[in-house]
Amino acid sequence: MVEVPVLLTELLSPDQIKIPLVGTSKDAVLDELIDVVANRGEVQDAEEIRRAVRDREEVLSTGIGNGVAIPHGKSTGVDRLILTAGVTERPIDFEALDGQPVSLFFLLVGPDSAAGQHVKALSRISRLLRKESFRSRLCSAGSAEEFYQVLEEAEAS
Amino acid sequence: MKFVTAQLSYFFRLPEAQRNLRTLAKLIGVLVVLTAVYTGIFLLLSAWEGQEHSIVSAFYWVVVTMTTLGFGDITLESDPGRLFSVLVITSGVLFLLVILPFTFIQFFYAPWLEAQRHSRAPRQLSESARNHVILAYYDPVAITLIDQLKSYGREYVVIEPELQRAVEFNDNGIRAMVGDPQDLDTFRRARADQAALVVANGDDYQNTNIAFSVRELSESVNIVAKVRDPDSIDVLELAGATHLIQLAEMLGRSLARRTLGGEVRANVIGQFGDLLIAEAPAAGTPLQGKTLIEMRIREVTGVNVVGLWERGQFQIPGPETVIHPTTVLVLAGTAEEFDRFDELFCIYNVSDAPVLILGGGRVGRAAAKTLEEREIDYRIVEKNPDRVRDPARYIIGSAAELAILEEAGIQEAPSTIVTTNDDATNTYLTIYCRRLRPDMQIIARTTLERNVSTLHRAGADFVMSYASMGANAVFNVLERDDVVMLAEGLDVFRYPVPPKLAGTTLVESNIRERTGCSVVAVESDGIMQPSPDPAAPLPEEGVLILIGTTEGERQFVKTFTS
Repeated sequence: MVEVPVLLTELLSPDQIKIPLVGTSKDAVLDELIDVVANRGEVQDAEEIRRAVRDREEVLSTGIGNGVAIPHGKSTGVDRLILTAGVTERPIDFEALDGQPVSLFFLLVGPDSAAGQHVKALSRISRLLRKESFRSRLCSAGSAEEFYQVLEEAEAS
Repeated sequence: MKFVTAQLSYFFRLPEAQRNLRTLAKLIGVLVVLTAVYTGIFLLLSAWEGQEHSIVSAFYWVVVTMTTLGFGDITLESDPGRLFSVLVITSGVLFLLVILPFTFIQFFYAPWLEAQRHSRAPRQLSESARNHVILAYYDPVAITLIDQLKSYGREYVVIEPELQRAVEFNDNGIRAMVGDPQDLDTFRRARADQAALVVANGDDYQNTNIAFSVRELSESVNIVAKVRDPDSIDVLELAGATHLIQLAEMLGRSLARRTLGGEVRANVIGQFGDLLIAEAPAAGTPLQGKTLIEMRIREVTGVNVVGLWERGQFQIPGPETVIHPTTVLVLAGTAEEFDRFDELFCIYNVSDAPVLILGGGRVGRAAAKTLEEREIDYRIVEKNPDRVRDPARYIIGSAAELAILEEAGIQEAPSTIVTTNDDATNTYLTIYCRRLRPDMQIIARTTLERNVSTLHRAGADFVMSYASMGANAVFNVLERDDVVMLAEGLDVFRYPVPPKLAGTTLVESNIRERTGCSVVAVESDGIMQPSPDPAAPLPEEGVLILIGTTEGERQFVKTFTS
């Protein structure tokens, strides 16, 4: 049985973080994040991932409020969980639960076979992002490295 | 008439009654002799005064004088005669009005009443008693179990050492027999060898003795024993108990299973083969404010919404039912379907604040253990420092103090479990916590079933009683083997498709309208089909999985199987 990653820093690396995200619409930002995933050599079918993430968004917006969105999807296009993150220059409308625009994004894609891990990782992201101070530090990170460092510090505490 | 004859026969068989009757006969003998002597003296005195009276008249005078009637038609006029009259009146008063009634009551009437009481509380069951349930003690579990046994028409008897209490039980419609539950002979007289089940519901030592005694009478009878200390499990098994119930452990685990914690993920509370029954809160999710048909949960995830909780009230939902922030969904589906549900909702309203457990006794510790298994953090508020196991997770002090509750994190806690063994304390704490946190989930334990509604009124979302938990566990051994108790009086249960329903569709059957139960799944050829097609005929050899109240379950049995 595969060990469930407890730390998001194990799923993420600075090259999977995009700061800033330049898209100004929901679809544009999603495409930008998916492109980061697709640029990794291990992705077999980027279009399949795009479809999975969009299908999920159609059911319910993943904008969970407080300026955060966690788009995600399961796809045959990847073999393991892949996480990307980014911060937009300006908050965009993401049809979030609280109606507020969103600037902080974590996108998670995983294979169909990793349902349990997928859910655990999503819960972990959501739980960490409950802390207001953590969210604002991530949003004000000037680079991917700084973003990653904030995440590392949060997970270490 | 038969009852009176039985009572008389019982009364005259008692050695004490026979002794008392002899004493009464002696007193009556003394009275007869006295009357005869007085009659003789009267004849002599009246002759001395120059009066002539027959023996009958003399006897008549004695009786009239002794009974203080004193008609005055015959009198003695001389001083010795009047002194004699005073003597007769005094002895008559003593005998007829004091000693005789007193003796009659003391030696005859009171024992007669006693005999009547004995006949109302038997010391043994008849030889024809079979398949009955013997309850060793009358406790909160027995009270609830007796109700269930009655509704299912099962014979039972409670063993009660005190005659007066046994009589009261029988007068109140509870079948009780007089006997010592620690005496082998009691179980022989209770026909334990022919019983369906013996319930050992005393303490661990008492239950060990009961199991041992009953096993001496019968190798095969089922013995359910309550266990308090886990170390007693082996001993009770060796003594012959076939089923062991760790009630505090069960209750604690059950309370913790109902705890939603800080996640919107479906919390599995029961399983029937591949079918899982789970709960999920709607608070903080896109579900709130929408109707079930708008949310399309079944279409998207496959999970079926089979019920809704609203502050302790269970409802069977319809497509237009609106989901409120306080709603908790009761869901049915397979593991894969629940994975899809979790993926959809696990990102909303997540909190990692610890769950509060008020009371660190057996129930509280069992709840903590289950939360730990579910990877949910918790804090236990406990007054007694000796009960502290993990100092980092214990707050020592009274849960009735605001400072202690705040130190434990009540302001952030997603849920609180109230577990003390005092119902009044639990009611107080529930009201207090609800005032502090109107939005928090509160789960409370009660010992007596009758306090369930009180705790709901106090603000508890879910209440589980020690009594119902125990009674259900015992009843499952006896009657049903697959019941998940969702809450007080609400179960998910299996039932073979009744012949009356075989071949009809769910729509035609009107099960929901006629019984208040809802079909969650249909099992056929070992394959579970959650959310069955309402237009498909029910298989003859199939099994229905239903959700419903205890009353609904009874109604289902009555409507479709009688």
